[in-house]
Amino acid sequence: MASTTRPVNRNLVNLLLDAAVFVAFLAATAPRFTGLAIHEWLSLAVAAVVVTHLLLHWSWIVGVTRRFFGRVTWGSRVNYLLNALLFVAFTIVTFTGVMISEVAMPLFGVQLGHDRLWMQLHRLASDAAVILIGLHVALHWRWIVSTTRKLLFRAGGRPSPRPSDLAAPVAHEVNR
Amino acid sequence: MKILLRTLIILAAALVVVGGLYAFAQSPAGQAMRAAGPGGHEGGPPAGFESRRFEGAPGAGFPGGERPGGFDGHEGRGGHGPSLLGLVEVGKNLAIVAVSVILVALGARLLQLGRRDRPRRTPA
Repeated sequence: MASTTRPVNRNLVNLLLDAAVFVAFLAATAPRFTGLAIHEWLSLAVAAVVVTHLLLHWSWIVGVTRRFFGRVTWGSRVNYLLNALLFVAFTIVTFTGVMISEVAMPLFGVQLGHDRLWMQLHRLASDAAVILIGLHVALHWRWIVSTTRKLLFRAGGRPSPRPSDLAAPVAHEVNR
Repeated sequence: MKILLRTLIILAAALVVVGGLYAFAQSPAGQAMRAAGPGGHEGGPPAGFESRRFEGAPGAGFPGGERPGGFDGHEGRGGHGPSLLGLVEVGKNLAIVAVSVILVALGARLLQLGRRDRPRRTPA
């Protein structure tokens, strides 16, 4: 029996995952809107999706890391540095968030003493993350718009793009 | 296996950041930041959060020794409910992202125009 599995549309997966994590991030950075319990659980979920996001773009990360001081465009270098800062900011936000958790961690029986420093760092890193996310979105804006357009057109009856057209968008940035 | 290894690499990188954070917390700069921080006691809820921490044994202070309905022991731990007023915060963050996109797009456009206007050197 012939296999009928369709190739995974990487662009679609990337776009949907990124859109979901963006919306979740926006909600998570507004604890007054979500409430403390949702804020904590949503933030932990965002952290997990960020790891998935990194795994999906692993080839780009490895490619630019290897050639950072070699043949890489300045655009990719800036993007790489920005992503590194974003990773640091996200790590600080997640770690300090766990340290000051009042709902999620106590549920597991973990009671951590409150420290003002973690709270301050949590706020600072969270504010920095919002700005860095803005720059991250800005640097990928063209891809976001073009991919959304392509996917909308395809949904409107256009023929599906070839699997070769569906490669991860950032994979090409290494050679750009 | 490959995914597991990559995940471990990502977590190891995060651990390096956490190590740096701990080193900062122990440093004089971290101590100064801790001392200069807002709030009179160790920690405390974030701005806008009203702590409803229960003191003493569960149920202490309530008639019959039981908490009123709705408290399952977690929401009462300094938590607070969702509020539509928090949408202002969401809007503020969304505005920051929008401004970033506009600024970067304008910068890129200006850079492009600058390159186009620059006279091309002809090879000798």
